[in-house]
This record gives sequence, C-alpha cells and structure tokens, in this order.
Amino acid sequence: MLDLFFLAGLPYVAVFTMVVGSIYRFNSNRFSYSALSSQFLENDKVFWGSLPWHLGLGIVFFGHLIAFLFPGFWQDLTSGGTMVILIEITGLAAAVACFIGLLVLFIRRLFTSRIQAVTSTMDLVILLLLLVQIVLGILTAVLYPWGSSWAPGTMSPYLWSLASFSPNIAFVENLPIIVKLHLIFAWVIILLIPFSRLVHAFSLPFRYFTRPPQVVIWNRRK
Amino acid sequence: MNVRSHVSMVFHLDKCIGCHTCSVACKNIWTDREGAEYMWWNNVETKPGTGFPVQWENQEKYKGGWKLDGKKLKLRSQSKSGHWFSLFYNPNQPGLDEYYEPWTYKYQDLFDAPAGTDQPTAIPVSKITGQPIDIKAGPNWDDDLSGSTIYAKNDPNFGGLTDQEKEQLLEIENIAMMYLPRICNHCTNPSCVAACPSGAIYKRGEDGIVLINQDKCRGWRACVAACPYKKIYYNWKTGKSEKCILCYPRLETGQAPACFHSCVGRIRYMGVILYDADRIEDSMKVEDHDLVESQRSLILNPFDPEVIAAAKRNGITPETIEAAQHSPVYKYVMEWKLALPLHIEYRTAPMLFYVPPLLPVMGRVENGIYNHTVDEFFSGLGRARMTLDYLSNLFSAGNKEIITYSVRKMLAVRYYRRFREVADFDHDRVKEILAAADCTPEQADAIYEMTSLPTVEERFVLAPMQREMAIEPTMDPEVCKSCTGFGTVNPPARGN
Ligand code: HEM
Ligand code: SF4
Ligand code: SF4
Repeated sequence: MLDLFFLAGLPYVAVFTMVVGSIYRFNSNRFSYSALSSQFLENDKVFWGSLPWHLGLGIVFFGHLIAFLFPGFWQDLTSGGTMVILIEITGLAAAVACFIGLLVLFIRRLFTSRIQAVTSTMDLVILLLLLVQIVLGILTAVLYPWGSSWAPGTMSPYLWSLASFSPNIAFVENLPIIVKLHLIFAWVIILLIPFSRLVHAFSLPFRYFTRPPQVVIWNRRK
Repeated sequence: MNVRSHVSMVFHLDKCIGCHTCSVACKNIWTDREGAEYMWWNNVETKPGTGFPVQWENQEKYKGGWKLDGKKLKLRSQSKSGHWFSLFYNPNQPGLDEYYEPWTYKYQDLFDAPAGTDQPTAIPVSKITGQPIDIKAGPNWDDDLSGSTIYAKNDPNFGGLTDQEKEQLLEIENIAMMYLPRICNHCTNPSCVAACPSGAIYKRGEDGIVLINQDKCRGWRACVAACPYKKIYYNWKTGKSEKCILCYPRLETGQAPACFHSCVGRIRYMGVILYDADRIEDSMKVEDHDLVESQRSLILNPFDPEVIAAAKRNGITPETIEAAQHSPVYKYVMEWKLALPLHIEYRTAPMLFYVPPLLPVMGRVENGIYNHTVDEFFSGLGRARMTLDYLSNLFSAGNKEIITYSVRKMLAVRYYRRFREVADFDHDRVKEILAAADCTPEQADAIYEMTSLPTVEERFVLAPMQREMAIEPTMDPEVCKSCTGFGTVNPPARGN
C-alpha cells in the first residue's frame, strides 16, 4: 500500500503540481523567476560549488533521460562490456562532482555570513534534498553496479507505465530500498520545483542562439 | 536611411563642481532600497583616479564592451556558445568588494548607552549582514585624491603618456584633476543588450532609453560583465540586474531626469538627436583613431529636408523633429564639435557626450605668477597640465587632433569673450585666434550663451513622449486591460 502511494500516487501529484504550479507562478509572478545568483556576494566558493554541481548534473541528467526515453538503444549501447564500464565511470565521476559541488554550496549557505543574508529555509531544504538524492544515487551505483544494464529493464518500463497512465509498480517494487528511496526523493524534488528556486532550470536561454544581438522595442509596432 | 530619434545628453565638464548632488538625487528616487544600496546609477569620479567600481576602465580585467575582430564586432566577455558556462559562474562579474560593502551606523546605541565617562559611539554595521564592519571602501573613496599614489596612480588611462607627463599629473602639491559624472550612456550599439541570454534588455525605439525588463531578467549577470562602463548593477536581494532608466517616468511627463534637474553646476544638457539606425554596427567597425568621426557620421542633420522626410516616414512625430532642431546636444556634438563620447573605443556608440574640461588644462602657475597673456593660446596647449594625451584616452580613443580641436575652440571662445569684455588686445589678434580654432564670432557667441547663460528650457529640450503609448512595451493593453498603469501588480519580492 505504501509502495503504491509513493511509487504510483506521489509521481502523479508531483508532476501535476510541478507543471501547474510552475505555469501558475510564471503567469502570476514572473518576477520571481531568477537564478538568484549569489556570486556577487561571494565569489570563490561558488566557483567550486556551482560549476561542478551544474556540469555534473548536466551529464547525470542526460544519462537518465536517454535511458528513460530510449531504453532499447541504451540496452544495445550497454551490452558491450567496455561501454558499460565507460558509462558507469563517467556517470560516477559526474555524480561525485555533483556531490562535491553541492557540499560546497551547502557549507557556503550555512557558514558564509553574506550568503546567510540571502538564504531562505527553502534554499536549505532543497540543497539538503539534492544532497541526499546524490548520495542515494551514488550508493545505488556502487552497491548495485551496472545499473546502466539493469535499469532499462526495471526503471524505464516503470516510468513508461506512469507516462502512459497505466502505472505498474511491479517493475520496481522489489528493488532494494536504496533504489526505491532514490525514486521517491526524485518525486519529492520535482514536487517542490514550483515552490523553490529550482524553477530557474526552466529558464535555460535557448533563444540566445538565434536572436539578433540588438533588441529594439517600439510603442506601436509598425 | 533608417531614421530614429534618441534622447541624448551632453555633460559640460568645465562646469562640474564635483558636488555629487546628482548622485544623491538619483539615489533618493531610485536606489534607496534593500539590494540596491551599493548602486550608484549616477556617480561622480575624480580623474585621474580609479573610479567606481574600482578600475572599471580596465577591460583586461572586466572584459566589457566590443572588440574588433577582423570585420566583426565581438563581445569581449562571452561568445554565443561559451556563455553557457558563464551562466553557472560568470568569470567577469565584479563582486561586492570591487564596489563596496554598504553600511549604516547603530544610531540607537547613542540613545541606549548607559551613562558613563565616555561618549557613546555609533559603530558601523554592514547593510548586508548586519554585523559590525571595518569600512575599507566607499562609492567615492578617492574623491579629490588625484595626487594619491594609491588611487590616481592606478588610473587605467595613462597609456601613451611619458613619465614626465605622468609625474606632472600626479605632482602632489600641484594636483590637476577633473570630475567625471557618469550615468548609463544609453548606447546605440549596447553590449549589455547583446549579452543578455534572456533577451530582457532592450532599447526603446522612440527615445533610445535602454531598459531591463525585470520580469524577463533571470539574473544571469552577463550584462554586468558586458557593459564596459559598469553601469548595470546586480541586485543581490531580488536576483535581478538593474540600471539607470534615464528617469523615463519623469521624461514621459515632460520633466528632466532627476540628476539633470538637480545639477548644481548646470552642466547637463538634454536634447533629441536623429540618427541613421542602418549603419550603427558598421560605424563601430573602424580603427580606434576614426571612431569619433565615424559615430558623428551616424547623426543626421535635422534641418535637411531629406532627413525630415525620412523621419516622418519612420513615424517620428513633428514635435520630435522640432525638438531635434532645437537640440543643444546637436549643437555641441555636431555644429560646434565640442562634445565627445567617453571611451568610444569600447565601440558601444554611447549617446552621452562630454565637453572636456578646460580649466585644469590651462591653469598653470609659473614662478608664482598665473600666466594669462594672449600668446598662451598658441603655445599653452602643449604644456597643459591635464595633458591632452590623457584627455584623448578618455574622450577620443587616443586621437589627439580631435581633443585638441575641442579644447582649442573653448579656449578661443574665452579669448574672444575677453576681447569683448576687457579688450586688452587688438582685433586682428582675436581674428587670428578664432581662425586657428575654426570658429566664427557668431559661433563663439552662441557657444558662450549656451555654456554660460542658458535657461532651463534651453538646456532641456524634450519632445512630448506620449506616456499613454509608452506603457505598451511592458504591458499590452489588449491582453490585460486592468494591468496597464503605474507600477507592477506584485511587489518586487525575491523568489524562493
Ligand atoms: C537548466 C540549466 C540551469 C542553469 C542555467 C542553472 C543556473 C544556476 C545559477 C546561475 C545558479 C546561481 C549560482 C550562483 O549563486 O551564482 C544556480 C543555483 C542553483 N541551481 Fe541551477 N541551473 C540550472 C539547472 C539546475 C537544476 C536542474 C537544478 C536541480 C535540480 C539546479 C539546482 C541549483 C541549486 C540547488 C542552486 C543553488 C545553489 C546555492 O545554494 O547557491 N540547477 N543555478
Ligand atoms: S552604458 Fe548603458 S547602454 Fe551602454 S552598454 Fe552600459 S548599460 Fe548598456
Ligand atoms: S550635480 Fe552637476 S555639478 Fe554637481 S557633481 Fe553632479 S554633474 Fe557635477
């Protein structure tokens, strides 16, 4: 029953809240969408925090996405031995970078007095959740290795079952508790996106590539 | 020809007394808020000096503005692909310590201190952390300190000066200095706009004011790094960048901006300029030496019937064209060629022009006697204490002819007035002087009148700006009828 709530109920609540909440916030209080950078107040630790965290996250996120979207392709890719090792090592390295980055960011939030002036409770909650989530991910990778080869048979079909509105938790029910916690924390983090600074992830400026360098706005378009 | 109009500015440095009234007027209206305490949209610097933020002109360090790369203009701070990494950490963003940590004093302690033998004191506390701080810098820390070896010596504009010239400038008992009031230049080729990943910064078509849409800004700080004048400030509280808005709410209701209005020295002029928008970028692709002339070639003659016709075709109102014809800025920049852009070598085509200061240039005392003979006109400039090399690094990208032309003409006007008032030398001599300065008696009179005797209406020639329409860029009245008005619907609170 508990499993059903956390693995089938929570995901829907989380994703629904995330989508509706973020859109609502965007329309009602667009001003609050910001990366809320604190580099201005503290310039050294943020380098060792923000860069490893975001770059590592980019790689980890990309890996998860491909495995979820193209499980077949992923399985083919990871059937060769060297490829699996390569992917596991890259993933692990990226996760460790994330961990170090988050740790630096967390310590910075707690102990740098200028940063304390711009730290909300939600900032700390988010950092803590992400920290735990990364540790759970690393533990999964270390304790239950070769996830890149077992996940396409468990995680992917589970996520696809959610996406196709016929949730089937049988795929993941019997996975070790650490792996299940990793899933649950993911849903909680997604749930909190519209209530936290994490909305900044939706602001990725793709348009910058195509827009002309100068922007001129007229009162009445001619 | 694609005619656009621009509300443009001239600062007459010969008249600036360095009183900072402009800075305070601006602060009281716009930046007296949490997160903005350290911002000075208008600040006044002592030159030679390091400025605010410290050494802002050092683009090796701050990477502001454009660089000419073959036939292309490129941002010094970022490329289109490299900017991805700067999102997470911007290597060129100045930190708080390069400005200063804002502070206040614990005034209440003066009242609450128990009776004792000492005078109670109000200790300084940081406006960010609330903790006691040791004040190490302020927005104007080197005010009037031009002889200082700590500040003036680190001025980035000493390139090309001989050791002797530097010594002359920094001689402590003999300080030569000038004031440099600075606001956003509302550039026509702004690097801040080009750098913004979110496309939040824009130039208003009608008047050229450069603004940041606070709802679109995501706090990436790319503009802070890209503006070579360091006139975009990051609000540490709201997580958004802010800049001088040229008091557009005042302009739209026919009032001059607060810093202009309050200027004690009456050094500030404001007027409409018509310019050719098709050639902006190309005009900034010439060698440093030719940049001032190249920018002038953008500015169009508001009396030329062809220009007027083209302006009307572009929807520029007759009132605006009329304002352009009476523009004091057009006179200073184009007719008299006295006013020059600040650091045009950053290639942003700034629309704020400076008449260089004459007094520190000529005020030379020898053997205790202030030399004021007429011959000084022909021989004096080369020996000026505020050397022309230094001024040319500020106002003409190192081109000495341009700065000399401007300074010489101002000097000629002075001698011409002396001839008119005191008449202690003959008519031929004054003719000679005016001819050498490319000036006529009529022009000299006009310059004198606009410099010394202008009324408020002559200094600020503003075109009516139709506030009812100006609201539209930020809020489309067709979409949200109730939102069109003053201010925003939500208080500008920091996101979570
Ligand atoms: C999509 C692209 C993203 C961009 C461009 C981006 C950019 C940024 C920036 C500029 C900051 C401020 C750093 C500073 O203080 O200067 C930041 C902070 C942060 N980002 Fe991201 N981010 C992205 C995605 C994400 C994602 C997907 C997550 C988490 C799931 C995330 C989590 C965080 C956290 C927790 C902080 C706060 C760090 C602190 O405590 O100071 N970001 N991000
Ligand atoms: S001076 Fe103003 S318009 Fe020019 S680049 Fe800087 S902020 Fe932009
Ligand atoms: S108010 Fe005018 S005179 Fe005073 S410092 Fe500012 S620009 Fe100069």
